This record gives sequence, structure tokens and C-alpha cells, in this order.
Amino acid sequence: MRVIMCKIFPAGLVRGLLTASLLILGGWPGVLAQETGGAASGRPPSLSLSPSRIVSLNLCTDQLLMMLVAPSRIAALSRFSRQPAMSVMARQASDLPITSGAAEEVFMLKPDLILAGTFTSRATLNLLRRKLKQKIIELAPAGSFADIAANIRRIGEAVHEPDQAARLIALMSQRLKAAGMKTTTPLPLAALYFANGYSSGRKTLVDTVVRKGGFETLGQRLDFFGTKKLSLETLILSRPDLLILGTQKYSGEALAYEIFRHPAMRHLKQRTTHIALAEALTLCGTPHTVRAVEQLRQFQKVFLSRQKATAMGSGNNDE
Amino acid sequence: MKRTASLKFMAVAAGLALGVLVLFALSLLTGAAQLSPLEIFHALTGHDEISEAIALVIREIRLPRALLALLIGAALGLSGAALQGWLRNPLAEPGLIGVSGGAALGAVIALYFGLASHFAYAVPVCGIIGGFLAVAVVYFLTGRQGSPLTLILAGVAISAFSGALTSLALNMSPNPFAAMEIVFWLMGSLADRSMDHVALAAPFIVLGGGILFTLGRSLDAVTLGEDVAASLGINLQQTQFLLIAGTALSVGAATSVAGTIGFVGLIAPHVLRPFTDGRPSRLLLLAALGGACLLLAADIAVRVITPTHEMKLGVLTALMGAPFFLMLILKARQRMLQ
Repeated sequence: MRVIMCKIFPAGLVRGLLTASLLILGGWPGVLAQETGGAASGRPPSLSLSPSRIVSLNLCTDQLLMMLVAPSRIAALSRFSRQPAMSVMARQASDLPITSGAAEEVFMLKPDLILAGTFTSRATLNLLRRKLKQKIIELAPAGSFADIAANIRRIGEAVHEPDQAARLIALMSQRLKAAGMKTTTPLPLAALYFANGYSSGRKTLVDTVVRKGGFETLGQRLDFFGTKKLSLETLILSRPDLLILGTQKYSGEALAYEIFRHPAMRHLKQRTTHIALAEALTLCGTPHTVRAVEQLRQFQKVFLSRQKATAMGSGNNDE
Repeated sequence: MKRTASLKFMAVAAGLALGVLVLFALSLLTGAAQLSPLEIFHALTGHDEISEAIALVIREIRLPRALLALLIGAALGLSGAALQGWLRNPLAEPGLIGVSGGAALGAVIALYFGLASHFAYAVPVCGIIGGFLAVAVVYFLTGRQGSPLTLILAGVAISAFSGALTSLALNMSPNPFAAMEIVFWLMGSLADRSMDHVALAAPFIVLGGGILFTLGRSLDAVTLGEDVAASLGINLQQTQFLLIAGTALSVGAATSVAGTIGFVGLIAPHVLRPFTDGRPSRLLLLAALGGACLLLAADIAVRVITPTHEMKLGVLTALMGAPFFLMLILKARQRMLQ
């Protein structure tokens, strides 16, 4: 059965299919950002109290901020915002100032609003809070689309752009609905596997995305929460139908990637369909995250029809 | 009397060899997934009925891990015994005198500066060079006549220096994962190692170990004093070179695939010395077997104690080694009082 499947559904084809869709994705963020940027800058600056020197210290707030306000109101973004591997809006960010996030540097920018993640250095935030009370907004990372909407709404209110926030949220839920969720049982099992042998379980954004994409996830099957180390042998013995690998490489070498070169992983990849995940899409919850659901959904359809064909093929062979 | 000592030595050697076998089998049985001994046996013998997934887990994940624990433990125990015999210093141990630290630095340079992507063997080779340089520096700083204190001081200095450079190299890497990997290089681990790593390290460990085993007669002779040894036809200069080369080869290659694992080379020779009738040649074999037992057991323990988030091997060996070290100090104090 496995051998036949390899013939009908070669890994190369799958990879090609996905690479193509990932490439399409590369051009996509610009569209939404232009819409949003235009909307924000098109409005007269009537709200004199609107923050106009906004500093963002977190990759996720960076991206949401760029979608909500005109570039002129952004005093600085975090340095990660320019990394294409992490940020879907790296191109827009490349024209904007960045900050290392050190407290004294942020002071010098004289911000009237600071956006931070709950993972931003405590020491830095405490130092900033002493001088700049009530001007710091901390956002927890999103684990679901409801969280993304809540985060957008919260930043939208803070930057006095509630309408733009509502527009983004409406657009997002519309696309999410369009992606549709036709449940076929049992769903194919997808395993997420990242550098260093980490996997994401329940209540993580990427798990939500894969489930919405029409797969059962390993997080559900093994019932684990958050991002944790998953041994290679647990992965192999769970016999996933699909491997979703986070092979995103940052510059420079690291042992973290050795897990993908492990002979056992090479064997597993030979007999299991595997795709690469565009990590920037799911690293932060933004309206762009819907795109990952759409891709997976499309992929799931192809995957299921191929599987059906394989099952029929092997049935004929038995006769 | 001599006869009973020999018998005792042989009994202990046989017991340790049996221990290695049992622990090796236990190591194959230990892992995240519960697999039966029969399944493991079938997977190893290529039985038809075993599923592909289980065969993969046993052959490509658990077997290399057990093999590496065996080889690296033996290398550490053996080189500890050889160093202690030659330097006549009970504290001589590859981790303490800086060989492991130098080897880790060499391997880190090869890996993170991209040498390894052109030539896989660059990692063990650079590890061996690093280990060789470290042991050579310590050796020529203190020499055979040096006191245990000067040896340890030189070792601490070299270890601290190479550890700092290792951390620096990894901190400067643009890769976000590299800094996290400092822990691996300073504390050691066998998690997720593969047959690729066995292929990289095993040839050098076997070669270095073989060299150290040939030194048994010379080490025995040296216990009688250097003049006597020389009159017995022992080439001291050559022995010295072979000792450094053998240690660098085996410990350097071991460290380049598993990081720094301390104390094994200290514990194994000390525990087993009473069974050697004062002959370093016998200690070489016992310490190699004992080191293998120790590391196999430690590697099983890290998987059993912390199954979801494996602690580093070096943490466990240090936890075992530190009390041992204190015991040595108390012994030394008693001797001083007497």
C-alpha cells in the first residue's frame, strides 16, 4: 500500500504543489497592507490626541500596527519585523525605523504609545513603565482566531483606529468562513515538527490553523498543550499521514537542524507525505494567518482525493 | 596471594562486561514509546513481522544512542585511568584537565563556522585537535613532576578559557538556536544522536582507545620509577606522546558528538582501582568497562527521570561526581593528618 502510494503520489509532486502556493503567498501581504495603509492615511488627522509616535517592541504587534496606522505614525518597530523568515510584512518594515528594544533607546524615541508582547523583557518594561505610565500595551500571543480579533481590536482602540480594526476583523472572518470546514471523519493525522524536535500542541496558533485546515493534529491525538519537545520516536510511532515541517532556516549553522538530517527522519520522510510550513504566517496571529488555513484546506482536498485513488488502486490490485 | 588477586580482577572484569551487556539491552528498552523486548529483538534481527516504524525507532534512534553511550563511556573511563596512571595524580581526568573543553571548542568552531557543511569529519577532527592542544598545554605547564594542585589549576584555567570561547562563538552566531546550544556543549547529551554520529566518532574512539590499551606495560613499569622503567626498555618520550594522542583522539571524538561529559573518567578508575592489584594495565580494562557501564546507566536515568524534557547527561554525571570529589578531598585530609 505504501509503495503504491509513493508511485501515485510522489513526494516531489506534493512539494512542488506546495512550493508554488507558498510562492504565491509571498506577494499577498502587500495587497492587504496597501489597502489598510491607504485607508488609515486617507483619513484627515482630526483626532489630535491620537498617538503619533508609536513604538512596537514585539514582532506580532509590529505587524498589526503596520496594518492599522499610517507609516508616519510609527516611531520604531522591533528588529525582527524586517526578517522575511519571521514577518509577513518584512518589506513594508524595511522602510520604517527599527529599535533594538533597549530601554534607553526607547526613551530617546519619545514615544506616546508602546506596544509590547507578554514575552518582552520584564526588566525593560518595568524601567519604561516607571517613566511612561499607562502608555504601554502588552499583548499575549494569539492561540486562536478569536484571540487575533481581540488583539486587533485592542490595538485599534489604543491607536484610535477602531474602524480600520473592525474592517480587518470582518475581512479575516469572511475569508475564514469561505475556507469552509467540511468535516470528513476520520480526519488525516498531521504532525507538526520543528527545529530541535519541538512540536506545537493544543492552544497554539499553528495547531488551530492545522485543525481548521481539516486535519487532526498530533496535539489532539496525544493530548498535549503548548510547544514542547517531542521525541523522534514518538513522532515515528504515531504514524502521521502528513508531516508539516518547520524547516525555516535562519542564517548561520545550529545543531537544532540536525533533527531534519537524522536518518530516522529521512526514512520517515521517504514514506510520508511532507510539506514545509511558512512559519511567518503562524508565528504571529494576524489576518494573514487565514492564508495558512486556506493553503492547508486546499492541500487537504488534494491529499484526500489522492488517498481515495490509492485505496481504490490497491483494491484493484487485490482482485 | 597473587593468584587470588588475579582471580578477583578477572571476576570483576567479567562482572563489568556482563553489566555492559545488561545495561546496553536496558538502554534499547528505554524510550518514549513502550516497546517489548521481543519487538526490539525482532527489529534488530530484521524479522519480517515487525512494523517498519518500530524497526526504524530501534535501529536508527535507540541503537546509535546505546552504542555511543558504550563507546564514549569507555573512552572517558579508559583515558581517565591512563592519565591517572601516567601522571600519578588521582585527579587527572579528561573533563577536569581541560581535554573535553578544548575538544568542545574545536567541534564548535568546525560546526558553527560552516566547515562541517563541506566536510562532515571536520567536526571530530577539529574536536581532536582542540583536545590535543588543551592536553598539551596543561601537560607542558605542569609536567609529570607537577603537584596535583598545579595540574588542577592548569586544568581549571584551560577549561574556563575554552568554555568561555565556546560560549562566545555561539553567542555571536546570527542563528537564534546557537546560543541555546551552549548548554549541550558544556553539559553533554546523547538525545537524538544517530548512526551518522556513530560513524563520525567511532573510528577515532577505537583508534585512540587502542593506542591507550598498548600503554599498559609502560604504565606498569612507571609505577616502579622512571629509571627502572627506562632500564626495562620503556621509551618514556614515546609513551608520553602516545598517551596525549590516544586521549585526544578518543575524548576529542567523543566530545565532538556528545558535548562535554565530566567526571566519568574520575569515578570509574577510582571505584575499580582496588581490584587491580596496583597495576595500571589492569585498571585500563576495568575503567573502560566501568566507564561504559556508568554512562549507559546515566543515559538510561536521564530518560527515566525526566522523560518529557530530558536533562543533560553532564548534569547527572556532575551530580554523581561532585560528592565523589568531596570524598577524595576528605581522604586526602585524613592522609595528611596521619
